[in-house]
Parts: sequence; structure tokens; C-alpha cells
Amino acid sequence: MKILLLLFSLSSLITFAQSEDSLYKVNRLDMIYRNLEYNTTAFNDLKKIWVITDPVFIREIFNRFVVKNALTINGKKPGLKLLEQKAKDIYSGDVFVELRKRYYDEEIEELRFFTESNFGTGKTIDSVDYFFDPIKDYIFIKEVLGDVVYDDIKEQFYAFNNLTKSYYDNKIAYNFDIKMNIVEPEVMFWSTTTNEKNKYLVSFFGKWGNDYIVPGWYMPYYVAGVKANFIDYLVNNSPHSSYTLNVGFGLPTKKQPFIENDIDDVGRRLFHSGSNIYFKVTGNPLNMLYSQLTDIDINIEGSLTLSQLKASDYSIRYKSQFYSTRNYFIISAKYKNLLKIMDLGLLGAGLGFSTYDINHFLLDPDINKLVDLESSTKGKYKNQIMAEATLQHNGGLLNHDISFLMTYNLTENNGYIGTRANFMISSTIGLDFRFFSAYRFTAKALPFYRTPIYIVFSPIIRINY
Amino acid sequence: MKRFCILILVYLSSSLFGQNLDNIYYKIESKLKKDNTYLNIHAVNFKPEQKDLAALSNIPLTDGKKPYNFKVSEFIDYNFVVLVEGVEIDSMIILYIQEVENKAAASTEFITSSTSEDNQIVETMVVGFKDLQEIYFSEPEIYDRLLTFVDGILKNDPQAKKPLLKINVDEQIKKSKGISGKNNQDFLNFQRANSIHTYPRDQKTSTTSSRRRTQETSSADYKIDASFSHATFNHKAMAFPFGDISAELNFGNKATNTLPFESMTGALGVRARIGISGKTVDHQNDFQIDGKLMGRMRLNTNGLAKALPFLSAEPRLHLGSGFIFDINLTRAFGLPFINLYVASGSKDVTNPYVKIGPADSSRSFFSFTQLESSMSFYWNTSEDMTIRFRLDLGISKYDVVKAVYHKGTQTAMVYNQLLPFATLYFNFVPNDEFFAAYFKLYDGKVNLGAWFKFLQLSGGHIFRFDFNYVSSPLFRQPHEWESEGAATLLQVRYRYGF
Repeated sequence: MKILLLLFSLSSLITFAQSEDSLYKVNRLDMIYRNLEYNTTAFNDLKKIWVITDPVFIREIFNRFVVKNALTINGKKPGLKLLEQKAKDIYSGDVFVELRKRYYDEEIEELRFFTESNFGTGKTIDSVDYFFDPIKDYIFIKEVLGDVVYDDIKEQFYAFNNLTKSYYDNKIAYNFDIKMNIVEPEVMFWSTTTNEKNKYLVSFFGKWGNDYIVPGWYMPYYVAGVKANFIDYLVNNSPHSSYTLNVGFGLPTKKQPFIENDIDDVGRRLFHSGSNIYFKVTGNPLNMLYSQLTDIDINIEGSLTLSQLKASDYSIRYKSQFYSTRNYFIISAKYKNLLKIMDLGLLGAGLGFSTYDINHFLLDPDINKLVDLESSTKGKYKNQIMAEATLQHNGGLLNHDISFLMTYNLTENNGYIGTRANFMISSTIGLDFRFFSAYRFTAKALPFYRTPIYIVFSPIIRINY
Repeated sequence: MKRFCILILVYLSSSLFGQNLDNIYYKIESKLKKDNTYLNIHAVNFKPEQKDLAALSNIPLTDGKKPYNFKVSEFIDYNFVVLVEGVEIDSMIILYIQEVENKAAASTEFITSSTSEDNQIVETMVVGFKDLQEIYFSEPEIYDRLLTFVDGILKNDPQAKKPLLKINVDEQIKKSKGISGKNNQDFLNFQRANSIHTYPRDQKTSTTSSRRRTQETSSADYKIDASFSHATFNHKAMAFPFGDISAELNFGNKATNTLPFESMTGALGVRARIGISGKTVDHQNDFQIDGKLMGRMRLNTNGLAKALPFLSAEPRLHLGSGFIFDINLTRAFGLPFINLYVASGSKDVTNPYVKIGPADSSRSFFSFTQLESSMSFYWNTSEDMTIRFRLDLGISKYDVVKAVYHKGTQTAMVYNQLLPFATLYFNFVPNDEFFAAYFKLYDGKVNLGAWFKFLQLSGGHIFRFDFNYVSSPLFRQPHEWESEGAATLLQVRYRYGF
């Protein structure tokens, strides 16, 4: 017995040496096999991927692999018992076939069987399910399945779910960036990069109304001007920190959408009364004082009317009176990144103060100069405070920037509460919607220049390359 | 007992390794044979000489085949097919050796000289993948000898290594959002397809089908682009290295929302394209000034506009005689493409062609100055440039003077507004220019236009259907000088020599 055992041991040692040799050979051949195809690993997530869900077709595919003994588990051919056990999952409809096409042609790069229970769980490692080893060679797949079934799989004439990932990006600072939006259009037409990390952008911009004063087309003038934007550090989808300077001038709007433009009609509450200039400075100066304060944007914004129109400029031949806002000034601060709320985006919060004037003019065709009818002891200026919560998400298929805004007018004891929402699909097409509703703490009615509800909306088309 | 079990397992697994080895050999040989496009492998070609035979004789083969000896023949050469690089690969691997025999040349050697078309190339795998790998495993000195030999070939001639990868990864580079050129490429592509004037073709050699077609250079001595509403002419004597000049006759006008003949003018002039270049001309990168200077004269096309079956328009606005200056500039200092248009001239309101209203208060409308300034932005949805877009954003203005002819002539400026406009152009260029369309929104009106090629005759004759439409005002009542209905023009456009 001892001699037998010795002989067996000797033969086993020889076999072991041969096994070591074979393992070395298998590893080398496997390495060659893996490297024959042009490597497109970087595009794995962008390749066409789909899952066959047709249960009969899955059995057909599975059976062909069984017939050709072409399945492996951890590199080894499974035995009959194991195959029979695995087939039970097939019978219960728990097995699917995932396919991935090659990046540069239409051949199937990878076929793998997976069980639904293991898909997307901890058992799935780098998309590999241990139901069977994935088959990663279209020639081999084609040989096993036959030309007809292989072509059927490629043509997708069966029940399947497409899992191909679409790629969306939201990069800033391309050659040009055009945002077509009735309320806030912008055309970035020039840019330059300095120090290989920061960027200057110059745009033409438009702005109709101001959400803190009079939103959208309820404002009787349209601001057009130039915007300079400095981004101090370019990262993937959003600037680390940026400074913007807007300078523009007001252009009187002849028409205000959805509002009657008859001067005596109640529909239109505010009128343009002179040439005005607009400015806005936004930035993050606090991080110069304390480097940790990187997410607080300070915004200083204003509009000043420099001249006053004459009665003759209005082409009105009868006495009338109207209201006009000639100047406003806003200072606000916004913390953009309070916390991340799951996939909803970044929660931010802001506070601000604004003041604006309301002028009450008499327009008498017989008197060239507009007559100021303001008699209130409180003066023309109205002061208000604002609070804002924002929820912003960039990147991916759907981007959004939603703000919940509340203003309180300290002078008139009323205010507005509302929301502005900006949704973009793939950073290309979207909708800008703003809704504000008045509230008040007194029995006193809203002043005439105010409307109970402001609704402003615009489609958005963005083209940036 | 434990040791015994381990030994039994090892013994059993050895047979599995043997099984796997055969499988892998089969898979690799199959792949090398059948996957003709995607393999990242190279062929090193050489023609053996007598002195090489010592290193290349008696190459052992597997499966009972006799050892292979390389042949020396005028008509036989060899390809060493190698895997040069890859993950975890630290040195070149010889995959198989192919004998390449030119049988036709061999058979006709003493009969007649053969041409390349006559050649019959026969490729035979003489040392297979399994043979070479078994040599590597069992007789490494022979494998090293072969490897040294291939290394020697590549040292002498690095160009001897030819890729067998058939996919062109340079051409199939995809970007997430398509492309927008930083040079003049998009501008030139657009103008070649749409402009009524000639533009230089690319000189670069490229291999994509869509680009290749656009690079065909015309051999015609002259070029004509003509339709019922315009005609241009360019002779090769009018082409210079830095640009070209052509003549133009046109019945259309910009900035007034009118179709040709509707504005009752005809303009004749010259167009010049000048590239500001250094010592060498580079149309792609040189700053290009593409301008035209034309004289415009009033022309009574009122009757014509009403009589022509393919034109539906009601002329009401007279444009004055004068000049037209129209210029397109390519990108300078990183700015977008800039377009400027100025038309102005005499403010003569006598002799109108169209009068509106009864005789005792008849009136006519004139526009003497039109201005348009815009920036053009171009982009392509993919690197193939099959679908191309251009967006013009700008401002435009025209004045309108009302002349009342009753007890003399009284004039008054009734309109003089600066308004924004946007025009989106779409070009579909599958192989060559086939279809284009545009959509313009200006002064409350929509302008639509499209053309498509319907006939291309040999010799460079191209015919296109050309359609233009100007809507009635969408968001306002029509002005007095505007017709209430829409205006349309359908015509055939002929191109020769482009």
C-alpha cells in the first residue's frame, strides 16, 4: 500500500509540474486572446447594451451553448449536474442575456447570462455575474449560435430592453454658448483662457424684468448689454468660482405679452419714463478673506434712470396718469451648496435687500414735462427684504434650477411668494417658468402698480459648442 | 488523507488544463482567421534570401506536420503576423507566418510582362498560431531566433510593419456634442453648399466619404449660378491664389422681409473674396473677407411679380436706387463670423410703381436704407459633417417713408426700427450637397427657404429646386406697406462648374 501510495505521489508530482506548466500556457494564451482585438475599454459604458427578455429565445441561446459545451464558470466547464441546476433558473424565467456591441462596428462584443436577482447587487462585479462566465468574442459567439441566430440577435427582432447609456454633458466655456430665452437670452461670443486654468467669457445679454422687483415682461423696459464673466478655475460642469459683470441699457418695450398695452387699461401697470442703465456684479469676494467660504455669491444689482421722457414722447393726446419704476438697487447673498439632497441636487439659500422707487406721473399733452403726482409722506422708495431657497442640479439628462422666493415689502407691508423654475433637457432645450403671488398683512389693497399674480415663462434653447 | 485528496484534485485538474489549452488554441486561431477588421495586429513583410535560410529552416510544426522550411523565390515573400502591444504584453509576440505567393507573375514570367491587375496573390498560413506557441513553450531558442529575425527586419525598416486593423479609429472618433470648427472649415462648407458664388475647395486629403466628395476640384473654366432671381459668373481668370472675383446680378434684397421682385429693384455688381494670408495661402485658417459691392436700381417688377406663376407676391414697398455693400468676415481675434449689410441711396419718391388708395389720397411707401449686422455660429452634429447647422443672430433695420401724392407730394418717415433677428440654417450633406433649409424670424414675420438637388448631369451641371416663403405678420397687424398674405417663390437654380 505504501509503495502504491509512493508511486501515486510521484505520478501526482509529475502531474502537478505539468499542471503548473499548463497553467502558465493557459495564462499566456489567454493574455494573447484578450489583446487581439483593438482595445476600447474606455468606451465600455457607451457601447450599445441591451438585454434579451424573450424567455423562449433565451432558452434557444442557452441550449446552443450547452450543446457546444461552450459555457464556463470561473474558466472551467461545468458538469452536467451544475448545468441542470442552472437550467432551473432558465425554466423559471429568472435568466436574461445581456449583449454589448463593439464600439467601432456592429458585432457583438460580449454575451453574458445573468440572473435578475444578481443584477445590480453586490454579487455583480464590474457587470460580471457568476451565473456563467461572459463570452467575449464575436467569432466564438457566432460559431456557437450559428449565423442565423447570431444575426437575429444583432437585428434585435425579439423582446429586449435597451440599456445603452446616453451621454450628456453640460460643459461651459465652449467656442460659443447661445441661450435663447425670451426673458434672459445670452450669446457668449468670445472667450479666452489664461494660466491654463481660468477663463474670461464675453457675452451679449438681455434681461426682461427682475424677480426681486417686477418680474419678466411686467417690467416696461428690456435691458440689453454686455456681460463679462471670469471663471477662476475650470472644472468639469460648473465653475469653481466666478465673477460676472453686466452692463446694459434699457429699451422700452412696446408690447408686453398677455398684458393690454393701452395706456389707460388696467392691464399695464408700469410704464417706461426715461433712459436707464443697468449694472450687475456677482462674485465670491468672501473667499479672498477666508478661503473656506467658496460657495457664497454676493450679488449687487441696480438700474438707474438718467433722463425723463416728455409728454410728447408718449404720442398721447389726452390727459392720463401712470406709474413708473425708475431706479432700483439690490444686494443679496446666496450660499449655493448647503447640502446635497439625493439626486435632487444641491440645496442653497439666499438673503437679500432691495429698494426701488415708484413714480406717479401725470401726462398732460399741454404740459411738456411729466408732472410728479407723488404725495406720500413715505416717499417714492419701497424697501423690501428677500429670502430664497434654491435647488440646483447640473449634468445628466435633466438639469434644473428651482428657486422658492419670498419678498416682504417693509414700506407697504405686503410681499410676494413664488417660485422660478428652469428645466433643461440635456442642456439643450428647456423651459423657464416663474410664478409669484401677492400676500399682505393689512386690509389695505395692493398698490395700483402691482398685480396679484405674476406669471412669466419662456422656452429655452441652448446651443453651445 | 488530506494530502492524498489534494494530489487527486491536482491530477484531475491537469486534464482540465489540457482541455482548456485546446479550446483557447481553437478560439484564437478562429479569431485570427475570421475577425478581419478589429484585430490590433501587424504584418511584417520580408523576402528571404539565401543567407537567411540558416535561421529560418526546420521550423517545427505541431499535429504531426513536417517542419517548415522557408523558400527563396522571386515570387514568394512572407508575412510575420505579430501582436506588438497590449495589456500585460511586454514584448512582441509572433502569431503566425504567412507565405505570400504571386502565382500569376510566376506563371507569366517567361511569356509576357504582368500588370498589377493580373497578379494573383495567394496567401497561405505556413506556420500557425499553435505551432508558434508550442515552439515558444517547448523550443524557446527557435522562437527567440525567429523573434530576433523579425526585430532585425523592423530595425532595418520600421515601415515593414503594416497594421491589419481595418477599422479607422481616427475617422470614427465620436464627440459627445458634434463639432464646431475653430477655423474657416464650417464657413467654407456652408458657402460652398449655399452661396451663389464660388469658394475654394479643401486641399487636404481626407478619407471620409462626405469630406472626400467636397474636395473634388472643378476643372471647368467658368462657373455659373443662375435662377430666375439671380445670376453669377466666375471665370478661372478671375481666380487668384489669395481669393477670387465674380459678377452678380440679383433681384433680391435683405432686411426687408421681401422676396426677389417684390422690392422692385435689380442690382448688378462684383463680389470678391480675399484671404489675408502670409507667404502660403491657407483658406482654412487665413482671415477671409468676402464682400460684394453692387449698384442697385429701381426696376418696375410689379407686373412681373403678378404675372409669374411661380411667384406669389404683392409688391408694395419700393426700395431706392443706390448701392449695396454686403460683407462676411471670418473669425478674427476669437470672435464669431461677422456679417454686415448696408444698402442706401437716393431718396427719390417721384414715379412710384405702386400706389395705394384712391387718386385723391394715393400713397406709396419707400425704404431708402437697410442695415443688417449679425454674428454666425456654426456646428455639426458629428465629425462626418453630414448635418450642419448655422445660426445667425443679429440686428436689422429698414426705414419706411410714406409719400402722399395729392396736391403735390408730402413725405413722412413712418417706420425706422432696429429689431433683432435670428436665422437657423440646416444643411444635409450625405455625400455631397443635397438639401438645405433655413428659418428666419424678423419683425414678426417668418421667412422659410429650402433647396434640394434634383438633377446632376455629367460635366458639372447641377439643378436645384429652390423655394422661398415670407409669412404674413404673426404677432401684429400688417403695416400698410406689407401685403396681407404670404409671399412665395419657387424656382429652379442651375449651377455649373462648382
